[in-house]
Amino acid sequence: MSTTTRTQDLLDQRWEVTLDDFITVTDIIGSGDHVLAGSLSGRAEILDAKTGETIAPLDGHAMGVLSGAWSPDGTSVATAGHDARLRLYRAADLAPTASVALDGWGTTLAWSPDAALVAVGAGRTVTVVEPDGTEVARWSDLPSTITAVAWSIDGMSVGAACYGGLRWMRPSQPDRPPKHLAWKGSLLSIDVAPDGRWVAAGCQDASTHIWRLWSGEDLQMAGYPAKIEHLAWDPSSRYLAIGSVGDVTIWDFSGKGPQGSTPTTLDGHTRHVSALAYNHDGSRLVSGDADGNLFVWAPPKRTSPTGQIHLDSGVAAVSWSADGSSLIVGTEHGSVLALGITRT
Amino acid sequence: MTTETDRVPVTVLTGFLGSGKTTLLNYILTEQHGKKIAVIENEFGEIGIDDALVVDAEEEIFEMNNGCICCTVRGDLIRILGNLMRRRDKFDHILVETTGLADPAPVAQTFFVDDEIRSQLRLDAIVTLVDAKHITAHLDEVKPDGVENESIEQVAFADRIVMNKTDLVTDQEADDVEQRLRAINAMATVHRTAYGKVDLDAILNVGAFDLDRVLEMDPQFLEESEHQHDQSVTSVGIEIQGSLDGTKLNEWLGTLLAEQGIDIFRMKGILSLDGEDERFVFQGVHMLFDGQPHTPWGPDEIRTNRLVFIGRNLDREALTASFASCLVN
Repeated sequence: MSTTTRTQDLLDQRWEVTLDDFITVTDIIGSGDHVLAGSLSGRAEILDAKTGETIAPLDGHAMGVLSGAWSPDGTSVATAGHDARLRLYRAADLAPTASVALDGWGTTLAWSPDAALVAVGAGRTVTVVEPDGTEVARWSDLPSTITAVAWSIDGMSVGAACYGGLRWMRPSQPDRPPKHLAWKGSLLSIDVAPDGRWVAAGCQDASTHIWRLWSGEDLQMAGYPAKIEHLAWDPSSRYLAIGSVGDVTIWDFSGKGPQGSTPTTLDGHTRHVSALAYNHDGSRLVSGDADGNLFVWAPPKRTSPTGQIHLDSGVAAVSWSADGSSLIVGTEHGSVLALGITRT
Repeated sequence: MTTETDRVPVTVLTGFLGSGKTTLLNYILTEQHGKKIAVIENEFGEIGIDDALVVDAEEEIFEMNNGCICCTVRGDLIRILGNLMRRRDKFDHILVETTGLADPAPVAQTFFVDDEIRSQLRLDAIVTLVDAKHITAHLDEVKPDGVENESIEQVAFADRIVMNKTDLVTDQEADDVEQRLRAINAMATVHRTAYGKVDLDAILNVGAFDLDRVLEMDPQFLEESEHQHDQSVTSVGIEIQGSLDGTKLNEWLGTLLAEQGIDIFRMKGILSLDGEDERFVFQGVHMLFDGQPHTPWGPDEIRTNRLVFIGRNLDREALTASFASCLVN
């Protein structure tokens, strides 16, 4: 008989700061030294990833920050919020470069992969601007309020999740009508597979809808207990993780794809999954729930967590450092904290 | 688990343009000192009160793919209410103002369908404002085929009807209007007012959707108001003694909702199930309903089933007969 010692992940809290209210944004710059954090209090700050100290308070957004991200090349940072504004800053000195008026709450934003453009969804409008605020395109009167935006991997198209399906638009051809990937229902989240072959959207009616780009071929995972707000592709684009109530399911898209297959189920959450993210190499998945449970997994082979921690407030946002050695977690009560991860 | 007291009450305010919704909203906001109120409005009114958060929403009606053919929800409300509930500063009460042309069903159904909303908020009551002078003309308006008369729907869905502008009509005219309203909706209470000044206890924290409140209903009072007008939207009350066969009851309700769910706006019931010690209470909107066992029947209590339906083209005799067929012999 042989025994194998299985790797465990030790999570230790390194620092904790407060931004006063529900954390809506945590994003670590690629180099790993700065964290962007924002909350519904309206505060947005750049924090030192090692200490949590404030490097620079940003202008924030009256009534609440709703979205924000570093540009993929780390040269710019964008935030948007309740005040119907998109604010852009130069990363080098955190000087503001632009403040763009939007057509509603700045609910969602995404940088193009080449960091040349940022798309923001506000009300029924998607606006695309350059890092200096120059407007490139604006599509108004989409069928409903935009819940999420994402870019195709070639950076040519921006996709918006709304009622009735995804709408894809090309900033280089702003007058061309949006391409419609139809689905009868309200879409809440969107994630494009890193290899660009698939796009997945979580739906209000407790399902996930997936399209093959750009053939239009689609499939549906239904029967979840509640609406799907969080889903994530692993870096290899083979696995899609879907957060639900009480568990996370992992679907395998290799070979013939997931149709007819049974997903791997990761049990342990006690309420709805409120944050979900793969690390840089796909070896770990983090999931958090509204009860404050945070689990680190090594799916799909292991279905028990490799690490876990219980926070005194619901998990509201989570992101990995570029090397997978730490997590920045935002909570419902307004804490931003750093967790170091040590494999033992 | 959240308890009733943890969940923030939401009052839905409906009524035609000109019925005085903005006046009533302003009155509520100025009278309710010390309460933190959020208002979600669909019509640009002139509300501006320091302590209240006012959010302008665009009506977004989403169909749900949940097998329920008439299930629509208000996507804008799911989004805005979800966002409000995340804030540390919780609101004591939320008011949702709908447009004069809004169908109340998607608003009500939103509170049944979305788990996040359901866990944190409770639909307190649908309050419909009517203009005493003009409501009869709105109710009588003949719409083209397939177009709903929104004023009838708003009256039919209401838990509380505020008959406003009574200063513009005689007492006799007000009585006639009230009788007309009660013929459509015999479950709602009617409050007469001028200048939107209604006793706020009558319209806020009513608990109209709480299952506890179902026990208070008395279908007998419906009979007095029935058959007074030849109109398609009416209230039907059923009261029958005895105990029900659970299987037959399920089949009956399933068939009824499949065939007439679109036409049944509101329903409430207290049921005696054969072999069960506790009364079963339920209430619903169209095909969606909430139900649970409630307090036990007394040892010597006469078990009486009570049901109330408000809807279109309801056949009282057919409903009563088919329901009676679910009784155990």
